[in-house]
Amino acid sequence: MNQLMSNIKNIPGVVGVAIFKDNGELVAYDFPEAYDKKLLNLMGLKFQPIKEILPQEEGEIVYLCWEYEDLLAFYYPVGGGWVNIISGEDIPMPVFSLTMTAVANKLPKLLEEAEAPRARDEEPLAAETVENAIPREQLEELEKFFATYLGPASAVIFKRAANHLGYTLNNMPKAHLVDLLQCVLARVPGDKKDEVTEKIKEMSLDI
Amino acid sequence: MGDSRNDSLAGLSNMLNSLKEIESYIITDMEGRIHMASTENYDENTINSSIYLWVTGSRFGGEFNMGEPANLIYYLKTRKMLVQKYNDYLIILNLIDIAKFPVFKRKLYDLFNRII
Repeated sequence: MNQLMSNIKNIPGVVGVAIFKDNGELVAYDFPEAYDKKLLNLMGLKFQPIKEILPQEEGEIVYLCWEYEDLLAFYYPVGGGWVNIISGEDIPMPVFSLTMTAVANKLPKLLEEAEAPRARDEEPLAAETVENAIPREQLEELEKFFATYLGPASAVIFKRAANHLGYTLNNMPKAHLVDLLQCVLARVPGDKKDEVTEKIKEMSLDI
Repeated sequence: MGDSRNDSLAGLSNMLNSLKEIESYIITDMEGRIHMASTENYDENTINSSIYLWVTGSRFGGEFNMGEPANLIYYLKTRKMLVQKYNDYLIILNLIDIAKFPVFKRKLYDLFNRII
């Protein structure tokens, strides 16, 4: 694992590397001190739903790369997990592609055996977030309620609204329930909006 | 205001049509409403996943003090896509297989500079 990380870190321009399992668990990292472990766990939480979100018909991702003002952020999926890399803009892409192809071949086996480098008293961030997620039963109840106004598309609209807010229905925080409902309410026909708002208030949900 | 928005979209559309690397494009807002598309054969899932990835990148950029992303390369085994923010819109560009991202981005930004 360390050798693979070192190979990635040696690509000119690479600032940091973090390797995660599919469940969002950070298994290895090499980042400058300014990026503490809590921040890297947060990185896992942000990227973990990607494999779940992207529909099968989208095909397999080679990589995703967000371009910021001075830096690039890569998401590179491998069997059993993924690699996040932050680099400068001048990263040589042919070297990156070759290195990552080799990494993708070797990493799945190492991920199977890997354990997270976590301190004993440290709470896993993902578990904490799932704990604060909107309960599935409440979401199903709301989907059923909205189906009266949106028809059978209600469940799809909920899923889409969660995605638009940057979450999935499995990790949508309770604190964002109102935002989720507002997104879904926007899809309700205009003449029914007031009625739906009133009924939601009756459920003790203020939107 | 409506007219100026339409003019702006028409200008953008003309510009995108002039780039040979673009196979098809969709101009959407962050709520997933489609404002213009070069094809009627677009996939809702592509729009949703592009918006999701954009939001993820924006939050990630905020938490890591990198700011807002300018664009997202969405490179799949079956196709190449570039998601580009333009004012309040997201432009989802489906590129031809032989397109090179750095070259294409340079061309795109040159054209953006001309219409701004």
